[in-house]
Amino acid sequence: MKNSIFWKLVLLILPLVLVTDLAVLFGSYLITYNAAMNKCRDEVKEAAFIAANDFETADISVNKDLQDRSAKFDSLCNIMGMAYIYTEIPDPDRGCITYLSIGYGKGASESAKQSHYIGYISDTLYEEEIRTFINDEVTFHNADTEYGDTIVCYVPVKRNNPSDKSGTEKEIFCIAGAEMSVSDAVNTVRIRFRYIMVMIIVTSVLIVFIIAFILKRMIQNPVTLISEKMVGFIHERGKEFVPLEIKGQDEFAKMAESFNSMAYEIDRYIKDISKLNREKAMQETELNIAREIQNGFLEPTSFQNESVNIHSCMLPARDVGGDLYDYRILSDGSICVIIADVSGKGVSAALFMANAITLLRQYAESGLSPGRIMVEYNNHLAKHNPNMMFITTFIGIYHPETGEFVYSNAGHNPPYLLSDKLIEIESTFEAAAGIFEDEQYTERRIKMKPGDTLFLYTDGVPEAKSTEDSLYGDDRLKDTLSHNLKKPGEDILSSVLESVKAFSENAEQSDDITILIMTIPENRNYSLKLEAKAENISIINDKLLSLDIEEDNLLTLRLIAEEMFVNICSYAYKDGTGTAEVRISQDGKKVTLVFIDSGIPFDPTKDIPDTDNYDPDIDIGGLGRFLTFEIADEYSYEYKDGKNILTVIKDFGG
Amino acid sequence: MNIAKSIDSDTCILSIEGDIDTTSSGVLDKAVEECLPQCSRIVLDMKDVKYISSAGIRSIVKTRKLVGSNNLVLRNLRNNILEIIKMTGFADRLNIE
Repeated sequence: MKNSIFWKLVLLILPLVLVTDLAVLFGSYLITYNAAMNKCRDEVKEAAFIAANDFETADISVNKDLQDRSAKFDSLCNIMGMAYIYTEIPDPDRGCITYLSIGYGKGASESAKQSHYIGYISDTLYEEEIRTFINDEVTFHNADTEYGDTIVCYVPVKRNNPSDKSGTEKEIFCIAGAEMSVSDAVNTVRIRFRYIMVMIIVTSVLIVFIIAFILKRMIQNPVTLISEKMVGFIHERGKEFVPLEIKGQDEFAKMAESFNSMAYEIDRYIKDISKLNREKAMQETELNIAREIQNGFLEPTSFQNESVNIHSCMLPARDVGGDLYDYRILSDGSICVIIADVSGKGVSAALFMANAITLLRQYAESGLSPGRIMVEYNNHLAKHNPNMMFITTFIGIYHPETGEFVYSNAGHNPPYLLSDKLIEIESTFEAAAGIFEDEQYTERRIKMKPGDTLFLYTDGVPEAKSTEDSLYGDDRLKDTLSHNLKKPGEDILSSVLESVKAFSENAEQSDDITILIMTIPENRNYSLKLEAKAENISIINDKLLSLDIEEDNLLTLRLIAEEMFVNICSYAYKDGTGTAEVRISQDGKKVTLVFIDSGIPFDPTKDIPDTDNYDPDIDIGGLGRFLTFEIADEYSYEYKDGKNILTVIKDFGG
Repeated sequence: MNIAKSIDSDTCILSIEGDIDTTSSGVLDKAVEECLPQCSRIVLDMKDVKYISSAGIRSIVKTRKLVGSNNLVLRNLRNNILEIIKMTGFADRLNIE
């Protein structure tokens, strides 16, 4: 409710004021009522005395005298506003009264006029009448008669005792009574009070509203001001804070003062926190840049050439890590792979890693063998290593022409060879690089064949922690690798990462995880340089046998090879013989055959004969070409550098 | 390639074993020529032929030309060989059992 305080004040004050009003009204009503009653008593008393006096002095000897008195009382009633004025003789013994003279005034009922006549005996005798008659007292009686509320005053009437000759002794002869209605007086008071009451209540309500309005201004306005200021303090944070101003020394002024000091404090805290946040954001930005720079040191995560497929990853535990991997193709076509792990983590490890990777590349490119690279690299690191940091390092060089992998290991986890089974490659545990100068490193070699994979990793893999703090371990790693022996490198990588992730669940990564996978591709490439003679087909057939392919498909390849080779034998060299080169390569299910000769230019893909009009005596070579290009999935011909080059591709997977 | 020859009245049955390719098709041609004076009808049993090249198909078509299309029967063809013959479009011009 908009003016809730106002209405609360009204509801609080109004009943209080009304109760007070009613109490005061009731009090003054009682006083006024009593005053009116007293006035009535005085009036009836005066009337009664006049009547008594009149009766005492009058000569009453005959009945007519009583009637005269009654007439006088009538006029007295009218003058003094009485209902009745009378004289009577109470008889306490019999409990009745006997009326002597009776005068009626205005307001007297007809029935009373009928019954109250001279000599009438009424059996209604009040105690006050007896007291006046016997004890000589002036008494009053309040009666609630059929004529309404009345008041009666009884006064003794004394006359000379007939037996007393002196005439001084007087005795109570009868009592005089005067009765008047008080209803009018009471009604007058009541009506007047009704007006007064209405006026007072209306005035009170008005006053209450005025008071409430004033109080509301005094309370609600400062409260509204303060609350608006509080809301503004939150919603208008951009603006400078303007302190609250509330005049005076009251609670509101104190509240405003407290609010102002609180607002200043909050302002100060917010400024401090904003500053801290900015600083933190700057640090994070710098670390992000550092991470990008570090990632920039590393080679792309995958690489492929005809000799190797490489897949790698580095997942730092913090923003920057101390792991590294590297691979490069050396000038002789051999492939150098490196994985290393700096002791410690964070910025210092990252800096050390940056130095190490630069040295390793330099030495690798210089044509040294892995053992020599390790010695030179270790010496260089050890010379400039005041913090005695060290780096476990594995360096290997793969020679594709011999299938030999030569390696040296400075305290690093020995890699796994995924061949027909899983083998941890033999390593002598030698000191990690960077600590001791002139350390010697052993060089070992293994043979790799197509389809083999080398799995290099850092200890972040087996030491990945689960939420219960247990380690992933070598056994789990071996198990995962054993199940992926003949898989492509990217599948092995994703299997290991998924397995580690599933194991560690939501546990925070405790160490950098770095993996490098080198796979020797299974595609087979052969090149045969032959004299263009039909009997050499058997040499081609022998080579085709070494492909990894089903027998039916092999017969198809034989057909293509025979037809195209015979073609060269028959037509390329009109004057004697020449040579032909047949290249065979397999990549999965796809086999590519390339036929090259230096004979007369001839495009066998053109002018393929129509078999409908085939004459075996005339058209000798056409049927073979027809079959070849019918079977092949793709084929192309070019004449280049004096050579016919025909490429035929058959994809058995398609 | 080996060819076993058996003669039944005017029909000559040649059971071929091995591959019929450029180097061996001449042997088949020669075997057919030898049959012709005695027989007017030739059956080539190719149960043991795993491979045939265009040279082999050429020999078969030559034989058909020599004896006439009704007098040459190819018997026991392996699937891959039948496929190649179908590919050339000759399948419906040869009697294949």
